[in-house]
Amino acid sequence: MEETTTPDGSIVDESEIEYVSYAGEHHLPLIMRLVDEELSEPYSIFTYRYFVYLWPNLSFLAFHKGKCIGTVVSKMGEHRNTFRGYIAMLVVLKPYRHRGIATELVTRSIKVMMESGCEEVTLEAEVTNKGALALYGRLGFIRAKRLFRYYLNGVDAFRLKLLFPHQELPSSHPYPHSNTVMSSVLESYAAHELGP
Amino acid sequence: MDETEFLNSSPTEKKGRNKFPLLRYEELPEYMKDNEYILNYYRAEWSLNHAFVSLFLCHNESLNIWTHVIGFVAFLILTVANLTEFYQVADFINLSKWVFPSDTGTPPALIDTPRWPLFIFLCGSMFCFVSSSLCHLFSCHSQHLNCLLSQLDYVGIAVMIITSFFPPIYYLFQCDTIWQYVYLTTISILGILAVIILLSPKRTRGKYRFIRTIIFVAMGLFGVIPMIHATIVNWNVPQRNITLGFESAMAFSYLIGAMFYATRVPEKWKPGCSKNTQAAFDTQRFAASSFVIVEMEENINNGVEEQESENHEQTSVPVLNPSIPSGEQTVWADVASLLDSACNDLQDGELIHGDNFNLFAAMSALEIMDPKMDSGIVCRYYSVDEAIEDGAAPIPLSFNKTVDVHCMIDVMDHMLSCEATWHKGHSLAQTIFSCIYLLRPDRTPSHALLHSYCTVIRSTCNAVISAVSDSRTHEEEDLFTITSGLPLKRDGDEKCLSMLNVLEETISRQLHACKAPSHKKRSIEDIEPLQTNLDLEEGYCKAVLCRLRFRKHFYHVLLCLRRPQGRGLELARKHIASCLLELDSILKTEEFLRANNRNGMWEDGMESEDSTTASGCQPIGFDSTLNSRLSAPTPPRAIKVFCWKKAVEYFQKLLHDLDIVCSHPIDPLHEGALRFVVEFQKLQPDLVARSHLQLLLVQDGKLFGRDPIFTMICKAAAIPELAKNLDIQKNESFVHLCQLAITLLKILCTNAAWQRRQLGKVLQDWRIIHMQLEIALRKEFEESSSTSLDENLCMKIYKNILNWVEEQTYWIAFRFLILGFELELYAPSEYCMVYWYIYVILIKLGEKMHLRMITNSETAKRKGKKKRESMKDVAREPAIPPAVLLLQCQIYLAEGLTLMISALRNEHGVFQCRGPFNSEQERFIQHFELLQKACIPDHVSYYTFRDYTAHSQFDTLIMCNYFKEAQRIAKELRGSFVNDKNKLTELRHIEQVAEHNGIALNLVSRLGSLDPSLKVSFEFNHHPHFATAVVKRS
Repeated sequence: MEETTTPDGSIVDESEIEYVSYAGEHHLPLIMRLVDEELSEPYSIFTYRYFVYLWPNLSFLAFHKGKCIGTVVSKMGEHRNTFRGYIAMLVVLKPYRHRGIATELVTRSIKVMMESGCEEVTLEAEVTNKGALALYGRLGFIRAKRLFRYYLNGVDAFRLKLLFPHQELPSSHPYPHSNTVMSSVLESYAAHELGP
Repeated sequence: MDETEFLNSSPTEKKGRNKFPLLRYEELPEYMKDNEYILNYYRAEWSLNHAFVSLFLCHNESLNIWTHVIGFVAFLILTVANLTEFYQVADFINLSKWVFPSDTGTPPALIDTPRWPLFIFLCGSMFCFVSSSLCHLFSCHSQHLNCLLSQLDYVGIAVMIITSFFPPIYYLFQCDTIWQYVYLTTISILGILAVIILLSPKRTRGKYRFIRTIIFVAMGLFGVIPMIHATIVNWNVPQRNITLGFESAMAFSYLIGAMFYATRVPEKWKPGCSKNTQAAFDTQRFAASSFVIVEMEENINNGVEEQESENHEQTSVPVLNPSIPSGEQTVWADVASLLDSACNDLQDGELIHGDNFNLFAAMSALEIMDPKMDSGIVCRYYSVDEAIEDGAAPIPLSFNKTVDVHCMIDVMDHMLSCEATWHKGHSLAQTIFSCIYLLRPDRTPSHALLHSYCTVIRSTCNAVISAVSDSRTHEEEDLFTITSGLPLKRDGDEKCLSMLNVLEETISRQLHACKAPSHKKRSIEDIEPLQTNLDLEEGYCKAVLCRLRFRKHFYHVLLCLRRPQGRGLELARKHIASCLLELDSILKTEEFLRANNRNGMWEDGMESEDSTTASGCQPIGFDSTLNSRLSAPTPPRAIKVFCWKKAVEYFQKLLHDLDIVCSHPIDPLHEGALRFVVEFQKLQPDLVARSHLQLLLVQDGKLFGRDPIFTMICKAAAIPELAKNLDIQKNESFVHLCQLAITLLKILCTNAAWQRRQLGKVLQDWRIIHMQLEIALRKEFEESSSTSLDENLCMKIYKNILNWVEEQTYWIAFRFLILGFELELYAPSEYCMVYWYIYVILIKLGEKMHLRMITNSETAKRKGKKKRESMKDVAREPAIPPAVLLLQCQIYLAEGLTLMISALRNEHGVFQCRGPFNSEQERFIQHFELLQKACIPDHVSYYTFRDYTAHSQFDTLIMCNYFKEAQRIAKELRGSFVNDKNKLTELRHIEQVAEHNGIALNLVSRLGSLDPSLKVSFEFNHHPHFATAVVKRS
């Protein structure tokens, strides 16, 4: 479907959607409004700041005719000896769903993570959120664990994981880890540079 | 030389020598005769000019005048210095800004404290000094002026005393504005009264000296009250003694001064020597002002901490005592005002960022909805006492006995709803202990019904908590066992059953009495009815009785279940049956209770379906917000207490589950225990039931507390009896193996999500123990190889035990994989690899199981050689055991599904794992990481899977239809499991899945290539983990 109609009657052309990386304080209220409206967990402004200040390059916003209609907020860091990315929030306004905006947003964020040397990407999703589970499934995420009553509303969650391929296949490489370990060290250094 | 002459000879006085002489006491006009002990050097009836000039002369008032003038000047300087914030001079009374000692590197914070109390004091003092100076200087002018100025002087003193209270009271009670107002208003009123009294002209006369003194002393002593108050409140503040010291000194000096004035010492002792009428009063005045100042200086020197700590004490003491007392090095400090001012510097949403305080720390510090962190959480009552004072939990619940009983039934019902909610994983503090009666057990003894019910609830809670925490089946429901701060145990709770019995007896009699026909009533009239409305007596008696009996039996169930070695199981079953009967009776009372609802109608906004009580009324005495500060360290979950009907249903299920636990035969076979747990888990039992099963299975490290795990393993692995006498059971590896077997049983009793994770982890351990046993047994074998008999035996042990360990390992791996279906962890595109892995594991499992069974039957054959019946077995021996054949069915299903899905992938391009970032291999690695790490099985990798499925085609698949094979074997097997209901169900499910999938396979292979609109999807409507293919035209 190339063109669809929004509730206010205007027609959305896929090419009209504009994606931008987080570019500063003026984007913060836009992100907060979207997440507050659409996600179940309550977040404080500090949660948002934590993400967008430390990893502005992982946060993206989608605009349609100047209106912010979707956003992704992520982080990355060392976790049990792996350098992993984490998608914290992904929101697209209801009328704009089912046309690949969320996929595009999250793909952009994951690409940056991959280029930064992450070995894997994780996130949690409510077991009842079929849309999100399908979206991440298409991107290659597996459901690694079920987290019993993870959310405040008592709903279970899935821990989703996306493993990036090793640079070379483990079977043909004599030291399968040396390459990735080195690059992750370099990248984690780079990641610290990005910090405040 | 005579002093009078000397004075008179001074040059300035020479002119008016005759006109304005210094007089003796006797020569004074009547109105000036105030102090008969001061004999000489009086001025009297001088003109104003002369009186002013006498400022620089020497007479009996000189010292008085000058001390006051100097005092005035000194206070003026202080005031000006303080106003202009001239630090060098003023910093010892500078209250305006304190510098917070900063050792954390954060910028020093400034605190604004109101300065007006200090200025009031300074002004009051200045007024006093001025008025006194004027009085002493000009009172010699005339009677009228003398009278006026004396009054002014006394007013000045009164004003000074009043104002001297302002700073200490204001700063001591800075955080308790109520007391500030109380004390400051009182002292002001007292002062105004004193001024009015002093201003009535006749009071200026000397004979009223005593009354005046009393007034001043009373005003001074009034200060003792706030002082004592502040001392008590600030008892833990280290500076207490210093502050107290200064305050006492101030009071003391007031008293000393008053004493001098009233008694006119020292003039009285040596008349004529003193020129100083009111020197004493001045001493008092100076002492007072200087002590006040020193005291303030003290406050300043101690900086914010002391001041704040005083404030903190004042605010916190009325609410609660800090649990940690101040030490020598520490004080409690209220930094609220410090934070306030810091916050004013921050914009909305800004964060402080420092070297040792990064964004992550800021994030961790902010736990939204954590009651300990989030001050915004609103509570109806902030303490239990507050709630009780407000009448939230009256005892009795009502003075009308009928209403009282009705309310009591509501409390019982709501408690049951709370209990069910708690069992389902919410915190105790937010459910059962939202009951104010339970929180204050000392209040209940006066109400027998309430008291016994609360007592049995407490005992039941304790029993459940101990079962759950002993079994450790609650890893993820950790809210469950947190009991800190709750009055869970009380002396006398152990008598709860006897209390219940007594009460049950009484109410049974009451029920009997009201049921008795009227002509018999007379004989039993001495029995006091339960409540006053005799028409409803029977209904209420029944409603109370079934509720009490349920509690009694339920508590018995819990006690019986905990008896060692399962000895109480039979009795427990009887109590379970009684419990279920009582629950039915409770359900039947709903109609009666609703009809006699205490309001006589439905309450507004209370849907009958949502009600937590049978009557539909809101219960008295509950507040779930009271304990929010006591609840878990995690944010409180949104709690919705179960409705009453659901709670009853929950207990019915729990009791049925417990009944199944009790019905389990005490069977020393390991395999039987494992199978039982797995079957039990299919009922999705809740935490409490699972805990009791686990406690029953594993007691003191033994199966059912009877059979040592080693014996159990020996039986399971078909190890000859002789082995038990050997030393191997002391072998480290065997000890370890026994532990692993126990752990496995425990893990199987946990919830599915946790169970799968733990099973994945222990796989590695089972693999390691296999290797260790292999080494250990080989060593043993070499050492004892001297005799051929032993050699044979050891070889047997070696083979059997290793085979058993491997069989267990594959069984765990199989369970790990199928739990993934239960938890919905697999996406349809991953079914192919999952079924392939299941297929590989099942083949290994079947292999090991078959081997064990062959060895087992060989042993049995040898034993039973002489028995005739064994002949039949021998004839059937070559046949494969039914248990292995059942596995074979599952193997066919798994293989069939793998190949069908891979054929769909290869020919139709569906169910493929394609993503922009990784390939199917990464998914494979992630899903089977734990199995691969433990080499289960050996030599299996993604490439094996790829090679196996790469060439799967429908036309070859149809040639050897695995589903048909599965269906055929399942049908044949029915006869072998006639007595095993669970196995028969499994067989039926397998048949259904095989049949449906066989049809689907035929359909797709015939039409698939011709009809591209054919869509295949998978459902789990026939078997929990073997999918059924559904073919539809889209």
